[in-house]
Amino acid sequence: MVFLISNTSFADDNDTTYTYRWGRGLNIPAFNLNLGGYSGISFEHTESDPEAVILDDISFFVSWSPHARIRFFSEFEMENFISSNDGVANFWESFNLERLYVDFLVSDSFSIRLGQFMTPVGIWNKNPIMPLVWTSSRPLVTKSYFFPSRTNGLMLTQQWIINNHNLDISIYLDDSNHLDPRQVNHHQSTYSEVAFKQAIGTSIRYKVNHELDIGLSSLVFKKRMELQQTMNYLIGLDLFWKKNGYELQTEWAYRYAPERLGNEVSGYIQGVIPLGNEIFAVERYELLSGQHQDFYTNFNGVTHIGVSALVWRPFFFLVLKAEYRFGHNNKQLVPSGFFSSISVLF
Amino acid sequence: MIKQLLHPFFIIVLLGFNATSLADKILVIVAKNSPVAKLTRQQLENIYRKKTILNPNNKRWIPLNLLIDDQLRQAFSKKIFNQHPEEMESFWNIQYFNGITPPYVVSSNEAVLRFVSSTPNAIGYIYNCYLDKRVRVLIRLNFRNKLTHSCP
Repeated sequence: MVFLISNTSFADDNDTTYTYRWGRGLNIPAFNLNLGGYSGISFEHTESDPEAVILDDISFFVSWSPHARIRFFSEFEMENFISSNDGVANFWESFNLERLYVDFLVSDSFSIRLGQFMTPVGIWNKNPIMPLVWTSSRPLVTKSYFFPSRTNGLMLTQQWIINNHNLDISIYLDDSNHLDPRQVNHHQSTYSEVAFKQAIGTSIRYKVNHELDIGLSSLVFKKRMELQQTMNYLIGLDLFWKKNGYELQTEWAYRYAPERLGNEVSGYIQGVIPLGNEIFAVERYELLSGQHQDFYTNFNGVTHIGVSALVWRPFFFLVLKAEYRFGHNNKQLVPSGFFSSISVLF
Repeated sequence: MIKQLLHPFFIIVLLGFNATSLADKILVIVAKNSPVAKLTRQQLENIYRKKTILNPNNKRWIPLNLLIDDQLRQAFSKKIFNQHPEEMESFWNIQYFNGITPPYVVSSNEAVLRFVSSTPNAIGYIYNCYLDKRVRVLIRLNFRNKLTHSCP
């Protein structure tokens, strides 16, 4: 039994048809297998760095569900593979295993995830890739220096429907110190420094209505970075509203470390306004206040950052962005400058 | 007068009216032998968002959609998600990043009926005038705006 339909087909278990659709990948229904990915090229020119054109990502997804209760997912990518300033990078230095996990559905409302997955804090970090976000630059509160972006371990998620509203609660445990597959890479120094050593966290998501959902995150963690192996406590709050093409998104987090690393609060509020013809204006305000550390910076103070962007989505799978970032006391952390990018889901 | 009414032009117009009706109900259907007795609106939305994967028999739900520009698909999407299907693409982009693909698409009410009636885990939606004994209705969605469409 085969129904042929617009760009998609489906078939019974014995059928070997497959279909490809831009932005949705290669689907092979007989094996419950989907292959896809995304890619992006960016240009940036900041007050601190020379102009650069970078092939940011070539990323591949593999999703396979051999049983109704089981789904494997992996994403691997070539990151910053080609740059106008640095040329072509070494293959293995660019190659990253971004995510690799298996979901086991215990019931229709309870699931277990095992492997490497995006740390479920806030909105941005869960879906951070170029074709899915509105700006080429990333808010500080979502960067891995604030909290490591990937978790290696176990996550339990329970879904409830309360008065016709979804409530999802996840608890996750990280033991990257032993489980992070990237540790075996010879370029481990790059990643081990922004990875968890160990962590435990919770994520609560409540869908208020069709337009609005809110989230609450908490996280206790140690980073693997030599000088930062102290206990950190983080609490975060986020909100997402969308109606008729307009969007409002905000997320805030407070991190506290009793020893050495002090505390910081950071967040952003971002609005999206449709201008017609799939063109959107995006405005974002960011704040960081407190003691912030990354590879190169030991920042202590207050910084304000603004981003103004124009985004064109001629098709749902293709995004072109141009933006200007500016701010106060921001040069050390995220220098002002112009950014643009083209990204595509394939 | 009678002769004028029997003019081929009028006959065609009258037949056209017969084939077209005003409907204010969309039926969400499953196979007659489906284990599902009832669904809430939120459960239906979760199935169509592929947030709920398993049915009560712990089999994979197979939700079906019509073509994106089909009037019934547009009405169903607006009713269940409060978004047009085109607006849902950003949601499916995020799901794609997490390895989840949108529901299968079939081209007609009859195709929905044929597939749902022969697949115990499938769920679809049709105009009320397409309902027959092969399937069972789980939810009736009412619409303020009448939908004009052809009936079999």
